[in-house]
Amino acid sequence: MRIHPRLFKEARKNGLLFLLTALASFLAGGIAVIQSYQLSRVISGVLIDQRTLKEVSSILLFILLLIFSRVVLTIISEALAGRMTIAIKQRLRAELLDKVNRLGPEFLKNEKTGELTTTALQGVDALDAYFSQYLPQVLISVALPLTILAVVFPMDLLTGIIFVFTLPLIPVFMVLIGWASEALTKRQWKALTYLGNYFLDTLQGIATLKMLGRSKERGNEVRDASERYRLATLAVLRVTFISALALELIATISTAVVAVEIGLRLLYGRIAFQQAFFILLIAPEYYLPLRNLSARYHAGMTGVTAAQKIFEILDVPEPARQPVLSIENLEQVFRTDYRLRVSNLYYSYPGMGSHSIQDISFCMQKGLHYALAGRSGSGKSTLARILLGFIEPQEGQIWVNGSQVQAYSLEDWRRFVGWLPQTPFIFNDTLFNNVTLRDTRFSTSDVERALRLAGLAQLLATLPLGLHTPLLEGGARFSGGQLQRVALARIFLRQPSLLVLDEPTSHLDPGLARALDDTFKTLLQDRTTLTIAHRLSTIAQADEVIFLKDGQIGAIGKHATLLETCPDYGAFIHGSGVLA
Amino acid sequence: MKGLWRVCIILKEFSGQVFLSLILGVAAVAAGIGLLGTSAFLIASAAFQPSIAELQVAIVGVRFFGISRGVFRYLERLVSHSVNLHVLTRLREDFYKRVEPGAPANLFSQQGGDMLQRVMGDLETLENFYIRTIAPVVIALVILAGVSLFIGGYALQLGLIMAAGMGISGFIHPALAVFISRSPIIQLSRSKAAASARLVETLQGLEDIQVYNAQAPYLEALLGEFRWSAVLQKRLVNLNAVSSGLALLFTHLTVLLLLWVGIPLGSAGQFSGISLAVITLVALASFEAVSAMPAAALHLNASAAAANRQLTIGEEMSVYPRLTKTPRNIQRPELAFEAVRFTYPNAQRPTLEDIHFKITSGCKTALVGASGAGKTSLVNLLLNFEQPQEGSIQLNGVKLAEMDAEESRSWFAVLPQSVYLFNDSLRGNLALAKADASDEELISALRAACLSAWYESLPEGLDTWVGEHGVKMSGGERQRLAMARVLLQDRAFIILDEPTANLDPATARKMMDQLFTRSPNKGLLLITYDLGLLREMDEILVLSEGTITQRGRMDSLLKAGGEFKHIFEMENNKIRDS
Repeated sequence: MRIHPRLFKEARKNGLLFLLTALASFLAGGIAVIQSYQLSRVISGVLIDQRTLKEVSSILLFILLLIFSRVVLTIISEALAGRMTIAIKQRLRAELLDKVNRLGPEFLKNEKTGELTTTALQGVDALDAYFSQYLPQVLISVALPLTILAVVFPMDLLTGIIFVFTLPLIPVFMVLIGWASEALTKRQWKALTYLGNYFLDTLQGIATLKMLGRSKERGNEVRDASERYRLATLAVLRVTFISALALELIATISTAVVAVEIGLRLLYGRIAFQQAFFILLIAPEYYLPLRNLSARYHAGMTGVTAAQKIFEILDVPEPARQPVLSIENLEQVFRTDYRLRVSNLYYSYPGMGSHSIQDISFCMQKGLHYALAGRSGSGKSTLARILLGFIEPQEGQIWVNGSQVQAYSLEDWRRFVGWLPQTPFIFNDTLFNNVTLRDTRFSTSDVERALRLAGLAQLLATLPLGLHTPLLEGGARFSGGQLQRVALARIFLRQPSLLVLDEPTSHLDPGLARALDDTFKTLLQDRTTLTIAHRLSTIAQADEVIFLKDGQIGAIGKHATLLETCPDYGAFIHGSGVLA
Repeated sequence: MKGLWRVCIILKEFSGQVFLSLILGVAAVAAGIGLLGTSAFLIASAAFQPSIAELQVAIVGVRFFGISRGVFRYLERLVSHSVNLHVLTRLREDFYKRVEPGAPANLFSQQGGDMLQRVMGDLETLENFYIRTIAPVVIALVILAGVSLFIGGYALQLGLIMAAGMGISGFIHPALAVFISRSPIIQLSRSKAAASARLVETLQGLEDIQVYNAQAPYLEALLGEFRWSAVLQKRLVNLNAVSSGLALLFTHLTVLLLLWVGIPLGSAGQFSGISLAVITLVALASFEAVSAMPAAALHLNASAAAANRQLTIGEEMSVYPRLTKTPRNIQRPELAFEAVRFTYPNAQRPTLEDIHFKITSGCKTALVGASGAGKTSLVNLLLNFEQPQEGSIQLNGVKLAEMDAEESRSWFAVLPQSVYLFNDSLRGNLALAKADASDEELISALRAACLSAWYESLPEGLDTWVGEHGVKMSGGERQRLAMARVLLQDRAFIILDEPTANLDPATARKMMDQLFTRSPNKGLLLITYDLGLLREMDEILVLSEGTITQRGRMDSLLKAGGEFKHIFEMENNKIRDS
């Protein structure tokens, strides 16, 4: 019966609740023992001493009192265990969110969003059974049998010995059988997951099946796969259920042995009836905690599995940034004719052998427009993400005038840096909140001005709820071009001095795209920009092109110059399949 | 409740196993009661020191019950799980049969992304309906009746007390508990759904949130949702705690009441003191039979909701009368769209409007247009996945809506925009396109789809596992695999949705050349921006906001200017960086 050390530590953080829970349920168990003892007194009195109801009524009333206190203690212990669990879950969720926020969007790449959602919601909920049932039960299944032993031993040595020797058999058998069934499950695992997922796989791919004319037949295959799944599962269950069988057998056979043993000794007058009857009453109670524990074992282990996922995330190392300079310094810097100098940057993604970018150095001058060009995988977006602080370079620095960018906190840095991704995220929220992102510094008139600059003034006038129009999930109310403009309004609202853009590649309506171009011009005015370029015109119009090749600087210069001087650049431009 | 009836009908098919599992379940609980009952008898009798022979029967009984209880329980679990899995098989089979004709439109609605998850969850709930609800209820009823009769045999009052105690504890109390906890449970599941939606949104938008330093309000909103969930959970925890306390109270009060009433009866000589000991222990042990009832009541509630949801999915789809079939041996197959107008349910404006065009065999047609212009909807229409509200689509002069859907689809080989690979071997995934294909044919199709280098890198060849749990494949590789499927099918029309989007120009060119040489006489509908491919088309249709604004060959469209010229210029301006 393993206890996960870190989960135990979590429980200790709510130590008082945990202690009270364990205490209340232990007391309830102790009262059960006393109740059994009183019950044996009643039966013994009536049976042996021929007492009447009147004579035993005081004991019966005492039992009633015991029952009530047991009920109250049970309610208290369950309610407290539930409270403790909820508190732990809340704390873990908050820690997870905080952690993900510190790790940033980089951590959510590779479809981690779904996994993380599952971990933070269902994963944390899976701890319910662990904290509210399994963990208290572990303590009880140690404490209560020990208490019963302490009561039984002085009363009857032989029964005490039987109790002592049979109880450890339960965990021993459980572990042995657990190993066997685990091995079997592992051997069957591939077949079980394949067959178990067959139905979902079929439903997910039903459009493809229909296109291929196979959807009718697949119905029969679904049945066959389910049937094979049934047989394979039953084969595993046959073994897994043996552990419950062993447990049951040990508990019931021990009870039977005790019953026969005390019965025979009663027969020869070696034990008093009341003692014997008490032992009979207490025998099932003695095995009950361990039986309950094994019934909750599975739920407990599910919790442990979920916990491993949670702690895995909480243990991911964070990029450290120790801000030493204040925002005033940065304000000062951005007021000047600043110069941004990137020097010898290296970055490699975790788990990838080679560097994604290496030895990247270049300069940016206030108010100029830079285009990042290169094949996909050449490190363009890695570089952009470093500038935005989503990832920290492993080597090298970024300097702004005389100070290092890493010397400012991310929050301060991002006040001066804007980001326009290819597909900006639209929240299921009002237009107003989608522009301000719930930043309370901005007023209605600020937002209206930003929307006007983004070319959305006309649209805004037609909206019945104005700024408070909900944009619906994924921005369903607006067209693709309009959503782009909402993202532009976010930038106009904040007027960042430095702007990083990833040019959209998707096929916007050509008319819309051209209309957007004008807004883009306004956006770029008087701003330092670095654009991940997907269009030739962007490259051609840039003040400087930074050409990346295999993670390194291939060349830096004006488009026309590079075409003449850099053969790699020429190959990149001409090899891009453009028709003359 | 009507939905649950369906599950009961399925259970009837396996009535033998159901019956066996119920008998075993009753036997297991009865053996537990028997163990304590005979033990009590043994000890109480022994106290009067009779001859050992008088105790033999009791001793044998104790041993028998001690061993049989575990064995019965083990067998009962095996049989009832077998019933469960039978039910699961039948539920899935039924569900598939119900849903298949209207799929994918009925399974993948425009907004409901979690539809499949819900289906899987509901089926799981229904799968357990027998084991969690029916079996415990039946077993509890049988035990209640049996024990009450047994105790009633000593004295009628005692039997009634027992029946009342178990009835309250097993049926009335759980029913009340479900009733009271209903509203917090519903509120909690709503709060959880809201928290989940907000969490997904926060994570997906984290980049934007962080860039604008907006972490605080978004995280706070999320934590607020979690806090509300916690409040509801606390309410439920309290309710459940009181409920377990009450269950304990009913058990022991019943035993106490039996003693209170039974002791005077015993003193009056209606039964012996030994019987009183037996009655006490039998009563105590009997409550095991009702211990699962609160959970059963909750599960009944959940099952009813799940069953009703399942039913509506099946009934949503309307069945079109499909009578006509078209003969296979047609000289020049022809597909025609005539004044087609199509609007998605709940959409404000039509996705496609006034669509006219014709494709014949040996003729290459391309469809270009911005994302959201309606290209994919058009493909869904001709696959009979969706139905136009106005106008008609005709295949060889027969309206698609009047054809058998399977039959109509068998004219098209399709490379869809997002390629689905089944969790199966490479062979299994390819053979879906041609069941009787030899390995050579499959490999030759892979080669024609420019996948031979990839294929040769696979140590397990055609047995390589692909799909969710298999080897990782890039977008381009998946598309080429779908192209291999297209090449394996011998269909009159070929529909390709951006087949070269993830390929480098040289490979794209090679793959398309292979297609053109292998299938010269097919009718081709190509959705693409590839200017090289567009140049070879017999007709280009320019789709803009759901209508065809321009049509013709590339050179004439360029001369005419307008929309296509813009697309051409934008495409020329694009850097192909793959």
